[in-house]
Formats: sequence, C-alpha cells, structure tokens
Amino acid sequence: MLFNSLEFLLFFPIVVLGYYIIPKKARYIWLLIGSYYFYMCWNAVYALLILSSTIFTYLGGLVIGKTAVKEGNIAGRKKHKLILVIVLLVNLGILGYFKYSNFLLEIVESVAGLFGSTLTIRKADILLPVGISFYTFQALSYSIDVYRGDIRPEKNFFKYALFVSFFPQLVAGPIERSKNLLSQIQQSETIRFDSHRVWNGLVTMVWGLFLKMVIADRLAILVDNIFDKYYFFGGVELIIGAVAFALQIYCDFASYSTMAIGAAKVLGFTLMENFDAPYFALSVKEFWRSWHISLSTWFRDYLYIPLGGNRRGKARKHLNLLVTFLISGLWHGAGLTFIIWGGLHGLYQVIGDALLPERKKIVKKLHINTDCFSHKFLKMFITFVLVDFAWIFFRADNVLVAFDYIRRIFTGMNPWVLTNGGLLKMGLSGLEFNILMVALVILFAVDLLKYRRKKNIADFILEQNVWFQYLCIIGLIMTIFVFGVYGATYDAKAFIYFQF
Amino acid sequence: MVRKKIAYILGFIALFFICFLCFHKIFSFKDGDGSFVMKSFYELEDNSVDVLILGTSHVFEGINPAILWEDLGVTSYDLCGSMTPMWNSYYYLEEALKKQTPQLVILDAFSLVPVFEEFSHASKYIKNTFGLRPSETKINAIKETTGEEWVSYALEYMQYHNRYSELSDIDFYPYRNDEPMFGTWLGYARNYTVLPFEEQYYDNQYMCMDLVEKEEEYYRKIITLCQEEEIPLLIIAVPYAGYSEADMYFMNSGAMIAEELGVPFVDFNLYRDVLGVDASTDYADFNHLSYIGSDRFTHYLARYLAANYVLPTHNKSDAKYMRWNQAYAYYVRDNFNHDIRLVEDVDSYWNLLHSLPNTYEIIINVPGKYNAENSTNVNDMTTDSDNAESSTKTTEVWLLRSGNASLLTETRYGYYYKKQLGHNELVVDENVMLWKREEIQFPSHAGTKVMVFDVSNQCVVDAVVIEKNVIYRVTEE
Repeated sequence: MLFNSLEFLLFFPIVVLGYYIIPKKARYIWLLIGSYYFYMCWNAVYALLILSSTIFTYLGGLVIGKTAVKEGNIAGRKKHKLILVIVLLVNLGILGYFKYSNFLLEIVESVAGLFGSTLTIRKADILLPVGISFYTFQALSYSIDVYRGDIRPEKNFFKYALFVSFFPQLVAGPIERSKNLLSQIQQSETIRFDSHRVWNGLVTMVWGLFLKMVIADRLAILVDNIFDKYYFFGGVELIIGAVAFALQIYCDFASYSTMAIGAAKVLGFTLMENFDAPYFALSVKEFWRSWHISLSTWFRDYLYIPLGGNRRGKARKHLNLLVTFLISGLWHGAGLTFIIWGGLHGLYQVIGDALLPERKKIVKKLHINTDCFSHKFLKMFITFVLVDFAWIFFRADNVLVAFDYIRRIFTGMNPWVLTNGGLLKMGLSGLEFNILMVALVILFAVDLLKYRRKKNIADFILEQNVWFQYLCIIGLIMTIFVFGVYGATYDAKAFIYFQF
Repeated sequence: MVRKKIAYILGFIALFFICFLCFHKIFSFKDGDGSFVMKSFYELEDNSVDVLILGTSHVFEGINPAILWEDLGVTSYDLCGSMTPMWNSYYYLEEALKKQTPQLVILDAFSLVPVFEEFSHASKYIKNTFGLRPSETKINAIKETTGEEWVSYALEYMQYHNRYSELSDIDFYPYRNDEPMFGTWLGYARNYTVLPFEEQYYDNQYMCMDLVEKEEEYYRKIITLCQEEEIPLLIIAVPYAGYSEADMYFMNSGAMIAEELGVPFVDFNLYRDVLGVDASTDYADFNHLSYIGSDRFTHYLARYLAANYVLPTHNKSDAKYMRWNQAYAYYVRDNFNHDIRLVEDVDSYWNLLHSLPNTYEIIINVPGKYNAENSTNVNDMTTDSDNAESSTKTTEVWLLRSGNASLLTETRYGYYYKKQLGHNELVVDENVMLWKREEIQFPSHAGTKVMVFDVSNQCVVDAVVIEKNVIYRVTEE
C-alpha cells in the first residue's frame, strides 16, 4: 500500500478516526494492528519476518537490560556485549540473506572467473521484503541504545512492536530512534486531538504527494528514457538526465519522508526531519547533514563514532569515513554501483578534508570573499556536480554502463539540442516539460524557504491569511489531481475512437 | 474559536468541492461516441422512447430514428457506441429501463462476430461506460470491462485528468463540437462517405460457429432481461459490406440461441436483395452503411416494424416529442446541405446560392472589383477575380442573404463580419473564416472565396474557391 494509492486514501482516514475515537489506552494496539495490516498489504508472509525481528530484538533488549553491569565487572560486560553481538548478527544476518546473498554469490562467481573458472551458482529466488533495511536499522538502534544505557528496555511488547512497525515510516523511513519515537509511543495516551496539528500534518502530506506525483514521477519518465537508452543521446541530454535523476531521487525519497512525517503528525507523533534542502549544501559534508538525515545520523552514531570517528588521527578518520560511506552505499542496494556511489561520497569527504588547509591558504592568498553570494553559489554548484556525478553510478544498471554514460558526456557534446528542439525528444513533450519546470520552480522556492528561514511549507502556509491558505492548499491538491502522474496507463486517443 | 474552525473547514470543503466540480466539468470525456450518447439519453423525457435500439456503430450509422419518427410516428433512440460488446449493451439496457418503458427493443447482433483483434481491447469498451450515471449498473459495467482495475475507471478523474494536453475551448462548453451529430440525431451519426463494394452472397446458411463465451452470456442475459420485463425483443444484423461467410456462421449461432429462447432474429445481410441494397452507393466502408444505405435500410426497417409490431403512434405536435421533430427537421436540412456540397457546376452553384432562404448566410470574398448591382451570375465575380492581377487588386467582401448581396466593409476591429450564435462566433476576415474558433483558411491567391453558413443547423455547409469557372472545395465532410 503506497501513500499515493487509493487503498491508503481509505486506510488512513479509518486509522485516524479509530485512533481518536477508541479509548486512549488502546491506541497503540490500534496503531499496531493498522501498521501490520499496512505492511501485510505488500506481502502477508513477510509480516512474519518483521514479527520475528521484533520478538528477537525485544527479548534481546530485555536481556541486555537485565545484564547491564556496573563499571569494573569485566565478565558481566563481556556477556552484555555478547548478547548485543548476537542480536546484531541475527538481524544483520536476516538482512544480509534477503538483500545480499545473491550479490555475494555473484561476487564469488566473478572472483572464480578471474581464476579461469566457469563456476555458476544457482541463485535463490528471493523477494526482498519491503522496508527490511529500514526496520532492521531501527530495531538495531534500539538494541544499541539499550546496550549503551541510553534508554531503558521497553517491557510492553506491543508498544515495542509498534515502534518497529509504525506504519508511516515503516517502509521508507525516516529511521527513527527509540529515544524519539518509542518515548512518544509510551506516552500515546496523553496525545490529544489538536486540529491545528492534524491540519498541519495533512498539508504536509499534500506537499509530499505533490513532490511524488507531480515532480518525481514526471521526472522518472525523462530519466528512465535517458538512462535506458543512454547510447542514443549526446552529452547535453546525458547531463540533463543526470541532473533530472538527482532531482527525481530527491523528490521521490523526500516525498515519502514528508508524507510519513505528515501522517505521523496527524496521529500526534513527531518524526525527525529527513531532508533539509540538500542541494543547497555548500559541501559534500553539509550535503550529508541534510540528505536522508535519519540514515546519515544512524551511521554516524552507530558506525562512524564507534569506529573511532575523528578521535584517532586524520588517517583513521579518513578510513572511518570511507568505511562508513562504503557500507552506506551497500545499505542502499546490493550492487557494485551502490558501493562505488558510497565510495565516491567517502572519497569526496576525505579529499575535501585533506585539502582543507590548502584551500584555506588559496582563499587567503587570492583574497577571495567567502561571505558573498558568488562564492557560496560556486561551492553549491561544485557540491551539486560532485553529488550528481555519484548519482550516475547509483542510477546506472551496472558499472560498465555508468562509465560509458560518463564517457559519452565528455565525448558526445551536442549543445545544438538546446536550440533545435532536441530536448523534446527525451521523453517529455513541450507541455510536460513546462509543467515540470513550473513544479521545479515551486520546489526551489519551498526549499529556499526551508534553507533560509528554516520553515516547512506547511508551517509557512498555515501562518498566512485564510484566503492564501485556501489558495495554496487547494491549488496544490488540484495540481496533483490534474498534473499528477497516475491512473491506469492508457492512450487517451484510444477512447476517442470514431472511425467512419 | 470552535465556530471559527468549523467555518474554516466548511469553507475549505466548499471551495474544494467547487474546484473539483470545475475540474470534472472541464476534463471529463465529452466524446460523441460513447459518453455523450448516454448523457443525451438521460435528457429525454421519462417514458418517451418507444423503440430502444442497442448495438454497435452498425446501428448508429445504420438506423436513423428521425426516419422512423417520420415513417411510423414512433420514438426511438440509438443507444450504442462503437465496438460495443454485448455486456455494454446489457448494462445500457439495464440503465435505460430505469427511465424508459420501451415497447420494443432492437438489438444488433454484430458484436457476436469476433472480427477485430482490437475488439478484445478494454480501452475500446470502457469509453462506453463513461456516460453512465454513478450507479450499481455503472460499477458492474466497468467491472465487467476492466476486472480488478475497476476502481480507477470508476473514479473517472483518474482517466481524464491526463486530458490537460488536449483541452480546447469546446471542453469549456457543455458538449463537444460534434454535438449536432449525436445530440440532434438521437444517437444516430450520418456517414456521408460512399465506397463502392461488390456484393457477396454465401450458400451454406446453416453452419454455426462457437460464440465468444462472454458475448454469448450477455447476449442471453439481454434476451432474459427483456423477457422478464415483458418487452418484445427483435434481434437483427444491420447489413454491412464486410459480411463474410464466417460472420454468417456467428450470426447463425446467434439466431439459434434466439430461436431457443423464442425471440425473432433477422440477419438483414441475407436479405440485401429484398432491401434493395445497392453495393455501389450504400456502404461507407467495410463495416458501415453510407447515408444512402442508412436511409434505405431505415425505411425498410420502418416497414418491417409496421408489418410485425403494434407500436404506438404519437401526435407530432406534442411537445413531449419535440426532440424527434427537431431530429427530422435537422435530417432534412442536413440532406439539403449535403446536396449543396455536391454541386460542381459554377452557374448552378451560383443560382442555388441565390435561391437559399434567409436562414443561410453566404460570404463572398472577391479579390477584385465587382459590381454586384443586379448581378446574379457568379461569372461576373470569377471573371473579375481571374483578371484581378490585370484590373484592380481591391478586395471586396459580400454578404448574400435571400438572394440579396450587400457589400461588407472592414470594421475598425479588422474583420468584415461577425455573428454570434449561442456561445459560438462566426467571424469573417479577408482570407479566414472562423467558426467555433476553428479557422477555415482559404488560399490567399486569386479566386472568389465563398462560404455558405447554415444558421438554423449552425454549421458551415460549404467553403469553396471559384477560379477559372471551377469550384475547389476547401472543406471536406
């Protein structure tokens, strides 16, 4: 059940109504039932998987909590750690099996091939359970937090199960921390119906739908066309394709997070912001502070810092950065392209950090004004180019395609397509292109608002006068109705059949 | 505070509802074929239809209710769309019976013949459900056509929202450009194309072929529904040029089922000689009758009905039956207009234009000096225009009405003539005539340009350029 599906349009109001009508003490049970139903709409069997993961981490949490030891008790600490390691291994094992086993077998085949072997291993027909990466990481964060003593283990199984399966953010994040979401679930009985908050949540959801249905899905037509047939296009179109993908993945991903935040807000929960105008970032480091924030902070807190972070010298810091981003790449997908994508981001940061003193020297020597728009714009532009370059690997079907795509950008420059109408042969008609441009201008304005004034669109709209609120909200809804990419695929002309 | 919040929510809901309504009005499908036929049917007075005619495009290009009205005094309606399968017809019938109590239902059996591959394409059928009002019948009709995807079709906006790329001014009016085609003809569409064919006859008239299961199921259901409602049903096959031996076998299967259930079945393809079908003039294409064939067949059908059924006859001055009177008047006028378009001789054409009543307005653009005083001969115009290069290059625009020509002068707005008809405008410029915001662009070189406009049928009848005593037609039917 997708957020932009008819099923969700029915499901969500029922859940919300029930949530505010039933006795407050039973609310979390109601949400748990709703969350499992939501998840089972994809694949009922895989609900058993999330249930097992929940049971295991729940019990693990209880045991870890019980074996919490005072400082100095080395034996107790070892046991304490061992339980955490078991919990981590089992959860990562499940994730690994479903997500990476075939990828690993492919690597084995490739390595064997290097030695002249024609080994072929039969791959298992595994269907990746929806959201497994998200809920596994969420459950792991809970176990680690309990281990660290940051939170106390949750004794109520159903509340914990709701924390793992809370439907707004179950399948695509934000990956919530137990300190934030679990504590809200524990206090769900105190949540009162607040019409302003509910309205704010609904407006947030509408904005998410706009991002998804008007921008991301429209960009997808262009991007799919260019990436699938990249060999038909010249450099300019390929650059446009790469830029379009950067915008598509942002709108697509951010839309889900936005709708999740909105849906949770309607229910009285506050989820963490996941995107904060990332393409306004002035460096790759800053980009990762505003892109998929819940994941990047997860890696920071549970991988980068435990590895030593920046506390063990520059070389170790750079190694830690590389390891963290390589694993982040692998988290995004089982493939070499994702690992390269992650590696590139790690490399950018390592190089950026290593060259920082030199860069500062140059700036000082050339008396460059760093506090003006042009300097910031240049940094922003360079950051975007670097990020977008890495996106090519993320989107390409395989590494060879990615390299060939990049090669063609440099060897097949065709600037004449900018004026001879060639741009309209990329998959979008002139009208569709114009709609997209207008939608992107709106996105730019909203992100600028967020970047400069740290304000969400819903908050901004709802502090305006009523007529402006109506104009924006109804305008957005009608734009989605008319220009959203949805409905059964059909050729409109097929309906206008009239042949004398 | 609470009041303020309630007012805010109600205001929002009201505004949203208005916006959505506008969206629906503008974007919804308004095609003559499929959606408009049903919408127009709803506008008929309750219990005003005597003969309900179901079927495919064979019916709406073959049976003219205006002729049945004139010949028999019975009210009929062609409730069908192109490529209508039996299940669409079944749900049309179910819907029709909610408002009408026909004395006879005629069903064309052509959809029993699985001739086209496209015939199994759901998108061809689904359009036939768009005109149905929201009801259980509509949902069942959609379900039957689309299966599991029915919800996205039932919520029609999911289909028509994509129309933003094809919107035009006509979407902002109640009906589309082809309104007279379906609105005035009571479901009928007149096809002025004529294609000569060679008539084929087949001997083995007793062989049968298995029908498509679903078509047969709904074919039987239509028969059963009529029997339950005690409405006589006549199953026919309208003649068509592409009638093959295989088609005949499918029709035979249909006839056998009809016989089994005690319903008359007449495959008129087998009686083309009795009907007097002329294969050189009566077909418009492989599947449809031309206007000549349609007239011939409808007159014959009228005689057949008169001989075999007792149908009510109505007082033609009764306001209840105004739509049928209008349809017949429209039919007569349309035939006459068609005859205008057939004239090729310049003198005859000119004489005809002078004899037209004042419900016609003729705009004449002469690219040269022309003295219209007492002139009734177009040769005066064409001679002048042919020699326009050598004589004078003054362009004159004339309005001819009831045989009287009056010189039009260029208004300060730039056009020569403008006439408002309902929400449509006729605007005449030097070389362009604009009707329903569609340009009739004349060639700008020498030649007398003539546009004949029918005020009562509200259509451009003819647009020609006369040059060197030859008529060149700018518009096509």
